Amino acid sequence: MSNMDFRRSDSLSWWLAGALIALVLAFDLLSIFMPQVAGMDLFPGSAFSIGVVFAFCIVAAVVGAAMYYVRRLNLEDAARQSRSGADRGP
Amino acid sequence: MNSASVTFLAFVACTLLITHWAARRTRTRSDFYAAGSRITGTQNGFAIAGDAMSAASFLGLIGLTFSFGYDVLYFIISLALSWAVVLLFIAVRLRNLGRYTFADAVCLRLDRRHIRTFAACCTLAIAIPYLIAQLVAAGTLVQQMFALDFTQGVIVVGVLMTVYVTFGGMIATTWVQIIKAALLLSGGLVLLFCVLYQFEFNLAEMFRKAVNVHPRGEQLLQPGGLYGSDLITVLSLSLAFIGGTAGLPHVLMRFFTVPDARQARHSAALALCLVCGFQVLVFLTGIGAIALLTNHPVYSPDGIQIIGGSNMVAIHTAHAVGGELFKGFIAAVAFATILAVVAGLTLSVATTISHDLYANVLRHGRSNEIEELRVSRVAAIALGILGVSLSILFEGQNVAVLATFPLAIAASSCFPVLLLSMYWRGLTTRGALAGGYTGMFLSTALVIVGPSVWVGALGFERPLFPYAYPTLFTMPAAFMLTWWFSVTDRGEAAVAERAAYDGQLQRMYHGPVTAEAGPGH
Repeated sequence: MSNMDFRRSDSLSWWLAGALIALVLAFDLLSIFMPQVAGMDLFPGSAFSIGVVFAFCIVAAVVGAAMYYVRRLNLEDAARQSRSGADRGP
Repeated sequence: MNSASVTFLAFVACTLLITHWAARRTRTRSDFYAAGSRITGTQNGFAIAGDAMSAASFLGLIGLTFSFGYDVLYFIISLALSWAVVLLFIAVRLRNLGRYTFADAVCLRLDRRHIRTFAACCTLAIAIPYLIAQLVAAGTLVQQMFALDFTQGVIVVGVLMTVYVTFGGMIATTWVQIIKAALLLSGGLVLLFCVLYQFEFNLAEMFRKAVNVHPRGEQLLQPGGLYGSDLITVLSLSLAFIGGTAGLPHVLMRFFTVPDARQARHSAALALCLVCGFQVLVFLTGIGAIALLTNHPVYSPDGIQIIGGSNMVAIHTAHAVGGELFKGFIAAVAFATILAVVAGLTLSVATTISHDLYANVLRHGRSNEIEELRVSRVAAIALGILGVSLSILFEGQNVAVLATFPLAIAASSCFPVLLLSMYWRGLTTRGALAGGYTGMFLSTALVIVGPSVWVGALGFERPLFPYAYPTLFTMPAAFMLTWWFSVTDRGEAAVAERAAYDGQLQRMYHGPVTAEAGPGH
């Protein structure tokens, strides 16, 4: 696996982290500057407020991003191993 | 003997057997510090999650949800993001660079003596208040649950943690964490299941009931209960969790217990999933507790305060849904949680004293394994005695106050130095020390003069620093000073340190076996 492959996975880390930080920052700003929106019912008669659902979605997004990241890097590892196996020949 | 005592004694017996088994397998320095790097990714994921899921996050967050509702979500999403940072930026590179402590990774191309001294200072500054907070919590829990007095409870925990670490090293500590994590997760799940059962598994009904009975009413699920509209405190809290988790030495050293970077990545991802699931579970249990305990004649006779304070909400909820037996089980699990966390903390301090300070700073790397292991064990015993003594002095103090120290200090000292050492070619020893020490002292000082300690613990009328968490100021200060003192460093050593980054990069990408490390000096 060349350094370029690792740099690609580095940039994936930065993109995912940037997206997650933006979500958390959006939650913080929404809660501080628009508390009435964050506390609004998700839909009329709902027991859950927009902020609570947003927070749970962020947690789900973090878990989803982590699973995507690990799966993608594991696939890259597997591809590298099969390439290096093929390079060595029979 | 009540159910709490039986469950706790069973846990202790089980962990002592594991310690006996681990002691026979702990022969080398690598076994003691890093379990011989033979722990699998899944096992390590559970152990890391065990480190993260302390009694404070179980008892404390359920209690906070009970009191304030919505604002606990700041903690939950910040914690989730913090584990994403560990997974995306720290786990793999740290595993490839280090051996036993995070200082191994940082000093690969920087001055070893100065960086290891800094790392040891940070570890002590982070671990000792955290240890005292956990021991004080243990003593308080023992008073409530086991009919022992505070001092006896602290001594029991102190002796057990010293035994685990001294004899079993990282192998025993890891397995204690794994068992504790499994117990806490299963106990928490059963608790939530029983709570939801009371509402026929109708989550919306549980939330509605909680809103109806809580003193804040509709505002329970709206922001502002705990932090009002204080943006600086909320952002500081988020930064403290995000940077603090990725800078806790006892968490970082767990990545050296797995054989390779892939397992490190796997363990970080599993820990993230477990911690996120646990946080959601805690929030839902807290909401359920509001619906079940508020105005209850047994748990809240005056309709305002809960008996034993908000930290007892989880225990009362267990009693409300499962009777004495289940209450005893949850109390014992909380006690076991404290025991496991203090063992991990003690090991991280013992390791940094023997490996960083003794072997590399005092003996310049000329000590042998037997000497180093002996120093580790003596350090663990000394820390046990110190921790117990200080905890007895701190009896009655608010543990939440003590628990704010470690995250704020880690986020402002270890985290900036570790992150920049791995991602910035320009970092030099001068910059790392200037930023790291400033972050450590500034965060400690601002926590002390802040409202939690200055007003809450020391009793002064007004705080000298108005915010509970100083991280919004101290973390950027640490990063900026590290950057400034690095870019203005023109010495020969600085040039060599920057040049060594290429070697370090190869090692971060390809691991220690296939790559040549930078020279260091």
